[in-house]
Amino acid sequence: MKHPSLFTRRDFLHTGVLGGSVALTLPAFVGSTMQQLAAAEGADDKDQPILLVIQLAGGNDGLNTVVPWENDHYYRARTRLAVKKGDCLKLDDEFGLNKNARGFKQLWDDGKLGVIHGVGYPNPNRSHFRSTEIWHTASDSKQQLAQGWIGRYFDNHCKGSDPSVGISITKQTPQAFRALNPIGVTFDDPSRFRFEGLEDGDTPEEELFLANNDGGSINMLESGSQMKLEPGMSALDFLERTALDAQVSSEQIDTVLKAQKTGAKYPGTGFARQLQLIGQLIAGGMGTRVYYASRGGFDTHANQAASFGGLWQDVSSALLAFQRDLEAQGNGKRVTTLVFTEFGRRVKENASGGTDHGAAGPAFVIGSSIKPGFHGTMPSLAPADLFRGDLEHSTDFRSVYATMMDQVLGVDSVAVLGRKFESLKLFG
Amino acid sequence: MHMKRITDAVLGPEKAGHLLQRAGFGGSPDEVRAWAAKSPDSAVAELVEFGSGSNDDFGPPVFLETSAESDANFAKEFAKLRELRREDQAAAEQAQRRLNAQRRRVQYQGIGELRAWWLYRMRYSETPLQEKMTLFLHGHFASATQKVRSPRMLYQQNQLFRRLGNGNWEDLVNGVASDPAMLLYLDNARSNRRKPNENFARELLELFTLGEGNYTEEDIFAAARAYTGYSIERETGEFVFRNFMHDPGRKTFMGETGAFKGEDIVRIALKHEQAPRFLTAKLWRFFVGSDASEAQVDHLSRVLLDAKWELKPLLSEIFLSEDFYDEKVRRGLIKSPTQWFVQLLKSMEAPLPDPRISNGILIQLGQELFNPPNVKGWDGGAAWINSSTLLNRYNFAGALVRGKLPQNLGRSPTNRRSYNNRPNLRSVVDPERVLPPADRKDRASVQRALFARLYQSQLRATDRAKFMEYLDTQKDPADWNERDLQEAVHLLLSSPQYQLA
Repeated sequence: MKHPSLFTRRDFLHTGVLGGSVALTLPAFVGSTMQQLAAAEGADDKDQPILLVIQLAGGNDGLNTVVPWENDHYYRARTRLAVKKGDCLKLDDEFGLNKNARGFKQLWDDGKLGVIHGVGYPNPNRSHFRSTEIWHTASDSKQQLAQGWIGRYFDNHCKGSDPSVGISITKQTPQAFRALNPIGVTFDDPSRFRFEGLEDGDTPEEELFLANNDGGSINMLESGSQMKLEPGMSALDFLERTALDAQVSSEQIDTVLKAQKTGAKYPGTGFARQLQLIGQLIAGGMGTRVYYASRGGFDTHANQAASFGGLWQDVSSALLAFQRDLEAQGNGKRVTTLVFTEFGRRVKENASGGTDHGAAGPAFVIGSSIKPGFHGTMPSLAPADLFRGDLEHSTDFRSVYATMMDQVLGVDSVAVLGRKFESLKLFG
Repeated sequence: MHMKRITDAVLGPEKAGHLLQRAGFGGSPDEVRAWAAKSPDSAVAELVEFGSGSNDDFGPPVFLETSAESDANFAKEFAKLRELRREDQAAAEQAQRRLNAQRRRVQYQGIGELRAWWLYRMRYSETPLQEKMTLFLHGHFASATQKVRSPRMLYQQNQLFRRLGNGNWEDLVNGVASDPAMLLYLDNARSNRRKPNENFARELLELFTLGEGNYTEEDIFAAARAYTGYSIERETGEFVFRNFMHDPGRKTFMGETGAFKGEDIVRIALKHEQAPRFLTAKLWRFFVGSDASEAQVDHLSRVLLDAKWELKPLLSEIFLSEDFYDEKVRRGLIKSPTQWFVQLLKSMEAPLPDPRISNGILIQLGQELFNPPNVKGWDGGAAWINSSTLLNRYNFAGALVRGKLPQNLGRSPTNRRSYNNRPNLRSVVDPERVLPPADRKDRASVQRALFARLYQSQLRATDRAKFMEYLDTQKDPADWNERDLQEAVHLLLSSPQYQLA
């Protein structure tokens, strides 16, 4: 499928700022310039691999997701909340999925789902914020890092890319995107993702708007987009930069979404709509390497039984629809999805019918090129083997990230993670 | 170290504009002029000295008058259900679902009124720092309607912040620890001696008083035990200490041992050397917009400890310091969505739009009041801005300026609620007020007037020049019609500069 030619930041700078007045929505410009740009655009974009990262925010209860249905320790610790043997969707003679995760069962049966046991890190932290920060920055437990792991990928491996090299379908930019050279765009509603103030045409209003929003005093014309942002960057510089990124990206995304209406069927939930949008952007040939989405509600301290099933019904059916959409597009092999959570939950249930913050838990990979089935080893649930009542991790989460860098995106993971982490055998 | 104070005889327009934006929500040109004539000491004293209700002529939100009755009715209905359940399980469940839905509707409406009530206070309060501190504390001691549900409880919490926002920090923390909304939000209401729930205890130390890394997991467990029994009366929703749920045993918390209750935990935690540093650094970031230096934190912490945790001297110290008025500090703080919205109305001297519009805008910009994203509150600063929220700010500014309801307002991929009856939106620009004939003499006077009104500052020469260039392409300002003015205002609002305070 031929994807529409895309407006890039470099083009904006050369044609927009240097070439005089250019409106965001100027059809003449789009008409004449877009075609010329098509040739300049990376022709191999549509073959590049794509990573989708999804956070189950709040701390997913891994034990009630991938249920150890033969394990007595599990049933002793969870007298009220345990998923009964007969209730789970059996994967093998030890583990079964929560009965509401039917979409995941289908992906498993199709050979598209990999489950990585016991993912976590040494000296686990039970704070949402700190543990989320650790996962997003790929730091050690006691180490503070300012940049996110995906941000370091942008810094090291995506020099000169358009801002839409990373797209987060969230309200706030995830910390994982934080970079020395900030890049990546964030929005949760594409229909609002463009400036509505100007009428088409070459007007003084556009001149002023562009003068205010063209990246300001930031000198980035000579080097494409490779400007160095110091930590002490001013709020004004930051805003000017974001204003420029917003204009360029909104033009790209608008173009793609107008052209792409995949017929794929998705459930009607908010999370499914996030994935559907990503499906459309992929189908439209965006040059995006990493997409990010998030589903909250997993912080089940009280009355977990009432909400947990619905969460997994939603997450698993939306991801099944997404995978089917990609395959119908012919993009099944290009895209790998990684699903993580900041921590699993305490092995023992609490008195409020819920579970408290814990440590290690399963992570999931989905795609047509992954090696399906279980990976890693399940941590012991025997009370004597627990650390403060939590599962000990058996796979460092940075090994999962290293695998995403080395084997999905095909770049050196050491530059991203600061040191070598063993890759997992998640592929071929 | 010592923090230098400003020595100006009077504030003058630039410093007054800066102070009013940071310690409040900005003001109209007339208000800025009035504050500009005050001495720094009297201006700051006036801001910091807000009373405990003496100057409060707003009255409570409407729903409060009716909610006691409707709460009692719901309690009665739910009690009946418990009997019905014994006879007919299925019928009881059906009735419960219906009742739950009814109550959610009532609560939803109450929260809407509560939001409108607070925005009204921010817009019109004569003690703006009181509302600004309430907003700070709402983010610091976050509680969200999604979990708390009861608008009455959230109102009470909001009033606690308003009452003690310039009071004593220890009182405030203890007030929060027995605040019904907080007890529900962090699951403490059901925490009991058999299985203490650690959620509140953890956040008390991590987010409310000390910060990560200044306590152990054992301290959290001890604190959780001390807070068992801090609960809520089911019928009234008021705080109650339940002896039978409380763990009266000895606990060791941060090196001290005793049969501690919650108040002991707060008292001991505040003795930690990080406690004043944690608070002063966070207040500095909120009001100043950048991280405080070690020396600044040292100094402000000493001010706070010398005042035995009273907040007034600390707030005065910040607002009178030279550092607060530093060139690098001014126009260097990214406005929160609430500030962006309220200040826009104040500077236009415009009334609040329909509450559904106000809330819809704040949702899209990332700061729905009474619904912070998590217990950490809003991250603030650069996190307010991404390519999407920036475009939203530009577009909502256009909608408010033109009086045209934006499409899809209040709807996003995760929120599909739409309006039953579309609210009307009137332009916030009253031409007679925003640009009276005296300001239309020439282009330079237009530039000065609009910058003073919108930015509360004349900004840099380059910013003025860009706008003058635009004005040169326009007809004589004396001949501007309503639309010409709206266009100019919208362009000034659709700029990186306008996002800064």
